Amino acid sequence: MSAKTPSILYIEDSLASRNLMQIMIRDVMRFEQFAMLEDTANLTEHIEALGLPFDLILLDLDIQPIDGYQACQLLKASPQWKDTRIIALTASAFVAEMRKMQEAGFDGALSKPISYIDFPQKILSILNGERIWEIE
Amino acid sequence: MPRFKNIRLAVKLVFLVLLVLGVLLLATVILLNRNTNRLTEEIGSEQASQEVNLIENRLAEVERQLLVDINFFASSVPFFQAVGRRDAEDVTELVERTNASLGLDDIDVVDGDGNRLYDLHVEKDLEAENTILASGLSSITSTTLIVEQDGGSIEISMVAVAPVVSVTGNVLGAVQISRRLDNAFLDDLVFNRQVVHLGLIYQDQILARTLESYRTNDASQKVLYKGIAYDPASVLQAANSNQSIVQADLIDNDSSVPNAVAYIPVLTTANTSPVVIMLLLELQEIHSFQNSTLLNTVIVFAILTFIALVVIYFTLYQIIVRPIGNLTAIAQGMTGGQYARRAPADGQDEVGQLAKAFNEMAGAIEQREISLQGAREQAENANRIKSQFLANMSHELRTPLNAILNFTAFVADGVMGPVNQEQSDALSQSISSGKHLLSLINDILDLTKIEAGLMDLFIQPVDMNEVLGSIVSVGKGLVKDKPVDLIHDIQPNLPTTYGDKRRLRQVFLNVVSNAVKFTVKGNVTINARFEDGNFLIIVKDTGVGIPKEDHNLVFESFKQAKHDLPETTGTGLGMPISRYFVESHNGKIWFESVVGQGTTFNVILPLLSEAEANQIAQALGAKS
Repeated sequence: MSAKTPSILYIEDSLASRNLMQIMIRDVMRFEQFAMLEDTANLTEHIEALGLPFDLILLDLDIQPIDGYQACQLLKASPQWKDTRIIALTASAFVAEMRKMQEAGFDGALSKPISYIDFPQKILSILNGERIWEIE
Repeated sequence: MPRFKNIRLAVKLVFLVLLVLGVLLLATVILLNRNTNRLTEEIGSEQASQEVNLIENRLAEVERQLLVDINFFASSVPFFQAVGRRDAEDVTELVERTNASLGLDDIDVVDGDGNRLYDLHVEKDLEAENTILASGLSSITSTTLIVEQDGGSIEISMVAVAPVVSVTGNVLGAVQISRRLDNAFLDDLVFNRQVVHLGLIYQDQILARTLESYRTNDASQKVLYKGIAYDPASVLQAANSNQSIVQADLIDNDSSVPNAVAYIPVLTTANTSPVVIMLLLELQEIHSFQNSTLLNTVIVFAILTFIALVVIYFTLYQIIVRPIGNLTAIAQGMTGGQYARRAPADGQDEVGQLAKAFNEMAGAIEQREISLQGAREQAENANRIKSQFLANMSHELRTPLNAILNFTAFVADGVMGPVNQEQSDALSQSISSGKHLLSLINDILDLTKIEAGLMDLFIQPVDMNEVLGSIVSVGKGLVKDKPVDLIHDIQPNLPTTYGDKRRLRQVFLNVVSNAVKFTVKGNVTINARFEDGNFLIIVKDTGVGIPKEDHNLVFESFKQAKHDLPETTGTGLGMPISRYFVESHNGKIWFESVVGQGTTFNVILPLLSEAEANQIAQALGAKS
């Protein structure tokens, strides 16, 4: 995972959040292979259309038309994406939801708001195989 | 044997009815028995009196017949001529011809001088006979009893004597005839009637009986029939008074058949007889009637009792047992959550009223249950709404902060292009305020969750060294710009416990950041060790301290003790939240403080196994 530049997909409906993540990953972390989707319609087709072998998908839970849990289940069920790490990005404050995420197949969770200071480090850790379950 | 109160009601009722009817039956039988006994006695003595009359009449008739017979002899012309002639031959012929039809037991004829002209058989007691014949010669016609004793055997005869008189009135001689009072004589008296038994008693002996099977040579046999012996006193009384005696009391024989007893003196015109006939009247029919009456009564009573029992049982079952059973079933149903069922309550009696009252109670309970259910649903609804609101708040408040904080940070850091020092400082203050707002939001969310009972724990293994290590490094960052030293003494290799790692970290961070916040100069010491199954974490500072009067406010929400430090801002929620998390991990948090000298916070946390921690988390979840 070290030599190759990792590719990251961010699925989020809020424009501000998408812009923020773009700066964070492209400008701060300098990862060029970064793509975004603003909804979960025809998800697998849309991801395939992006033409990247994503190592990591950051998935907002509060998204349409299918929510983050269902989207994760859908991706984990497809042979193409079942090994891709899927991390939930959530502003939720309930432990019960973390259990729901684990059941849906998420590989970890990062809480919103993200911190400019340590977010890059967390992404790198996750790419290195560390499991992070964060909920504020 | 089960205790009485444990027996089924129906059985109890049956038992009671049986008891009452049993007592009634017993009373009835006793009364009936007494009355029938009295009736038997009355009928018995009545019948016995009739029998006595009969016997008396028969005796009188025998006596009369003797006189008729003797007159027949005495007044016969050929006879007194033959006697007058002293012609024994003629006398014998005449007597024997006549006696062929009369069948007398003895006949004696003497002439005027007392010499025998005829003797049917030689008497055992010639003396007594001669005395009687002598009285006949004295022109006296009479009857009497004579007792002839020969060795052990005694014979008693009824004797009539008369003078043999010529037409001119001269006494030519005397004739005597006699009838022996023997077994056959008694048999004649009773005419073969099976229930009447006679015995001829003379001088403490029964000389003759009607009962063949009892006839014996043993004269001392006093029993007449089936264990009933004669009563010597009554015999004597009857003999002396010359009156028949019917005993008032019945005597039961060996077969429990009552017998009426009477004593009849055998009367003659001559003298008071020492001979008494005992009469036994077996009241077999009355006895059978009495027994069958009793038996019938008992049978009828038993049948009636059974019918009464059945009727009473089914009636009571219908009016008491079944309604109570219904009430029990419905009450059990209510315990099980079925509130809609009602007992049938169609009567105005106590059971009907009970059922009505029960139904009213059930209605009240059902109503209460419905309103409780409604209240519960409302409460659950409210909780769900609260929970949803919290989730939304969390999301809605923090999502914008995400953009605010990070865009500001990018700008301040020059990611978006160069910024000067003044701009950078302003942006830093913006970030710091944003972070404060975020922590405020987080604290309010936590507290709201705690108060709404919605707080949940995420149980995972907790490496205490790792948690405390991160606290130390954060603490070092916090004291960086102050004349405060952070001293730490953390026991290495603390055991791994189970709990909500993030929440425990939050507790220690809160305590340490408070210590740093309220310490202007000096030091903050973090001390951690494991002792007796507990983690003991002590955070000691040399800060402003907490005034005594404010000690009880420390763990209250939105309260921050008064102090003179201008730049310490806080929500005042950290300590109540910390205490909640410590206590929810079965731990304790407390402090000691002296104003001007500093404060020491102590946290004790028990080492928890995974199971214990999960149990705590589940108990917490169950509360919400």
